[in-house]
Amino acid sequence: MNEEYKYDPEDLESLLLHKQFHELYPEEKAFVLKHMDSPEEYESMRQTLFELRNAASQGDWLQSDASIKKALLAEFASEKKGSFRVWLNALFARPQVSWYRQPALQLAFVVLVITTGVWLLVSNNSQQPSIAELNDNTPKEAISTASTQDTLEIQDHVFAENKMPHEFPIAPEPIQSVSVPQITAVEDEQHLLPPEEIAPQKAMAKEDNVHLIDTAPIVTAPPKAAAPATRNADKVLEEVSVEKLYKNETKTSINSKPISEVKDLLRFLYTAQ
Amino acid sequence: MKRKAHPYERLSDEELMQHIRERDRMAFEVLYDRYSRLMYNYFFRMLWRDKERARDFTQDLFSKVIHHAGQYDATRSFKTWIYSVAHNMCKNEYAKHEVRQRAAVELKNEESMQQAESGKAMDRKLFNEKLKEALDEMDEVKRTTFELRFYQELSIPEISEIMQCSEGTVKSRLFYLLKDLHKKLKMFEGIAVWMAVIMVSIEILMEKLG
Repeated sequence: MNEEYKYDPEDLESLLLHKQFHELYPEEKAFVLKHMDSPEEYESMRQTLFELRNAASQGDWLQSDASIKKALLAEFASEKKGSFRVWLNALFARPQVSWYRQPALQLAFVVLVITTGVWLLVSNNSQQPSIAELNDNTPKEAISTASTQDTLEIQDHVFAENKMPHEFPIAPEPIQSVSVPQITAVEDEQHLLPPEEIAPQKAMAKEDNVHLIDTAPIVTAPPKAAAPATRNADKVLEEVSVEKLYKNETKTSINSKPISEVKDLLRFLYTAQ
Repeated sequence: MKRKAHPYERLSDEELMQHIRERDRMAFEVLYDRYSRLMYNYFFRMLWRDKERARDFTQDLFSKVIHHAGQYDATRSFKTWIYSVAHNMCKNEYAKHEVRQRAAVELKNEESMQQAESGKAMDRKLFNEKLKEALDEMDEVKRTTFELRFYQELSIPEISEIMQCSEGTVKSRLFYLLKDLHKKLKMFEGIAVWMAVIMVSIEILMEKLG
C-alpha cells in the first residue's frame, strides 16, 4: 500500500492534499464530515489549500542584502577564537531538559548539600567536648563550710613546715569532705553520742528497720590541742564522721576523694604534729 | 562555466555548525548562504512586511549563530534550532510592539494603491493581497503556523518543535487556519469572478465601439 494512504486521522491537511472526497475510505469520509458540512465544502477547501500553496511558492521572495553578509563576516572575524563564555541560557533555560536537570538547579542543590554537611560537621564538633566534659558541679559553697577555715589552717601550717611532695601542691584543693562508702551502724557509734540522744536514735532506727548509712561528707577534724600526735587517724576519721552526721552538719556535699587518700593525708598530718 | 562547489557545501547544517564552533569562516559563509534568504523572508512576512526590520533581524539572528555556536546542541536539528530562535525573536518583537495591527493596516493601504494589472495576473495579485490581509488579521500563533507550513515548508514535527507544542495541536491549528482562510478567500473568489466578468464585458464593448 502506498504511503499516501496511511494518514493520521487528525491530519485533515494530508487528506485534502492527497484525496478527493470520492477517493476517501468510509472511515475517512466519516471523519471529514465531522469537521465539514458537506463533500462540496471538502472540495472547496481542497481548492483553497492548493491556491494557498501556490501563492506561497510563487510569492515574492526577497533577496537578502549583501551588506548583511559583509557585516556578519567582519563580526565573525572579530570574534576571538576560543574565548571562554558562560551562557546563562545554558544554565537556566535548556528547553529539552527536565526541570530537575537544569544545571542551575543542580548546582544549587550541590551547594545546599555541601553547606548542610559542613554545618552539621561543625556543630557536632562543638558539641562533642561538652559530652565528654567532666561536669565540675562541685558546689563551691559546700567547700566553704564552717570547717573550711580550720582545714586551711592545718594545711597551711603543715605544708609550711614540711616540704610536701609534688602530689600535694602548695595550695591544694581543700579537702573538707569525703564520701564514706562503709555503712556505719548506729549501734556501733553510740559511745560517741551524748546519752540523751542515743535513745531516740535507737528508737528511730528500730522503727525504720534500717541502718543509718553515712553517705554524707566527712569534714576533716579541726586541730585539737588535746589530741595526741600518735592518735590513730582511722579513729579520728570515724569520730568526725559520725559526730558530724548526728549534728546534721555534714549534709552539704560529697567529695570524690577516695577514703584511702584522705586517711593517708590525715595520717601524715598527725605524724607531723 | 559552472562554479565548482566548495567541499563544505556537501556538509550538513550540523556539521557546518561544528566547524563554526572552531571559528571556520568558510563554514559560516556556506550556512549563511543556505538560510539567509529563508530567514530574511520569514522576518519580512512575520514583521509586518517591513524590509528594514527584516534586515536587522536577519543580521541579529546570524550574529547569534556566531556568538552562540557553542550553545548549539549538535544532536538537535539546526533547522529547527534556527527557526526556534527566529520565532522567539518575533514573539519578543510582538510583545514590544502592540501597535502591530495599526502598522499592518497602514502598510496594507500603501500597498493596495500600487496594484494595476489585468487578467489572470491581477487575479493572482488580488488573491495574494487578500491572503496578506487575512493573515494580518490573524493572531501571531496562526500566522506563524501558516508561515512555517506554507512558506518555509517545514514538516509538522519540525513546527511542533519550534512552537513547542504537540503535533496534534499543529495539525488542529492548520485545519482551523485553513477553514478560516477558506471563508475569507471564498468571498474574494466571488469578487474576482465579477471583476473578470466586468473586465471582459468592457473589452467586448470597446471592440464593438471601435
